[in-house]
Parts: sequence; C-alpha cells; structure tokens
Amino acid sequence: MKLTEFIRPELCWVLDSAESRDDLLKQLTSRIGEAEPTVDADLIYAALIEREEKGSTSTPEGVAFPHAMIQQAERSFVAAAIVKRGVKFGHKAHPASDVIFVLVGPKEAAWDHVRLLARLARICHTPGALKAMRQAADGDGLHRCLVAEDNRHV
Amino acid sequence: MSDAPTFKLMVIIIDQPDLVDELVTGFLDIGVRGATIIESHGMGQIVRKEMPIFAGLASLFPENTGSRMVMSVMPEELCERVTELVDEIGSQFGQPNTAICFTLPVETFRGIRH
Repeated sequence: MKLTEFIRPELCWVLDSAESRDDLLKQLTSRIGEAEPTVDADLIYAALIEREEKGSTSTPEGVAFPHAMIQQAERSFVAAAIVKRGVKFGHKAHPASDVIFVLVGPKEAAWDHVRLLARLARICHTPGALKAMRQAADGDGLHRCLVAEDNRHV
Repeated sequence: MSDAPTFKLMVIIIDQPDLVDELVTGFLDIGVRGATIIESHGMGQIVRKEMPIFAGLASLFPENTGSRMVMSVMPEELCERVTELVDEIGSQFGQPNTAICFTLPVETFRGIRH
C-alpha cells in the first residue's frame, strides 16, 4: 500500500517541542482539523488519547504511531511530524518519540488501517530512513523525504 | 470457463528467524491477510548437529540457528509482489541466500466452517 496516497504536504510538520504527549496530540489534531475540515479535531484527539491509554504506540526507535478509527472520517489519511525535542509517549523503556505518525480512518476501513500501519513500520525500519526524516527542515521537506522512502519499497 | 481467481501456495523459507517480522509486516502492507509460520530446520543444520559421520565436512553446509517456513495461499496476482518483497528484505537485511521462495498451484481451496 503506497503511503503517498494517504499523505500530503499540508499534513506534515516540523515542530520545536511539546510539553507532553497530550499537548503534542492536541497540537497535531488541531493542525489536522485545519487541513482536513471534514473531521472534528476534538473527536480525533479523544480517540487518540483513548488508544494511547490502552498501550503506548511508541517504539524503541523514538517513533510513535498514534492512531484512531472514527465514524466521522470519510477516508484514511496520515499526518507526520518531527518534534525536535521529543516527548515520552508512556512506555517506560522507550525513549522520547520525535518522529510521529498520526493515522486516522473510518471504522469500516479497518484493513486499510492495518496496511497503513504496516507500511509506516516498513518505511521506518529501512536503514537510514529515520535519520533522513529527522533532518527535514520543514513540512515540505518531511513530505518529500517520506515520498522518497515510500518509493523505495515494493 | 470459470472467472474464479487462481490461487497459489506461496512457500518462503527464511534462514534468519528475526526477519520474519519484516516479512509479516510486508505481508500486511501488500495485502496478504493470513499465513502459517512453522519453525523449521534446514538439512545443513541436521547434518552439522545430529550426524557425526559428516562432522569433518560440516563446513560444506550453512550454519544457522534454525529457520521459519511461511506458507500462504493467495491469489496469483499477489505472488509476484510477495517475491519482490522477499527480494527487498533479503537485500536490505539479510545475508546472501537468506531466503528461498516458490509457489505451487492450488487445485482446490476453501475455508471450512463448522
């Protein structure tokens, strides 16, 4: 599943910092609400928090994949952010996450959700990919990097 | 002439068990929804460990710590993508000859419901 079909420059950002996981998710969902007017930012925020409370979506590599399936979403999409001073996502053994992917999709497209998560996992696991993402200067640069990494995979 | 899709049995044997995660992630990504994964042993491993008569020739056989056999029945059109996936994983993470894969025709296929 190509990531490029689900991500666009308006949904990629490079941020300086956030006070906490919840603050970061608040910032990101607010930005998502601006870029995707058909979805309710508060609803996505609540769904992301609910998911994180079940278990952190962070990884040992400093990546987090907060995700939510909500009735209101018309289609699946991904938002990506680099947070220069990362934030802890709740898993004690994991470092602060500075590469964040937010996945949102309709409840009836659960399989798309799984495939997108798998795609992102593959991209992040590619040698050198995370380093390239972390060097992005802005959202456009991050988007270009993700497209390039996406194109490296079957 | 039936329009039913043609299914194949894809068999992949990986010599590096830790690469199974990469394979399963790739399966999910490209749309393979199920597979059976079995712990397996290559012939070389058996010869090296359990057949002392060949001990002097052990270096002829690859040394590994076990393998995994992954089997999945899938529509024919997915097989090529899976083969490309195995190539990609092998070139990114594995040693030469990390994995082999092949397909077999499936004559009948159905899920059993009780």
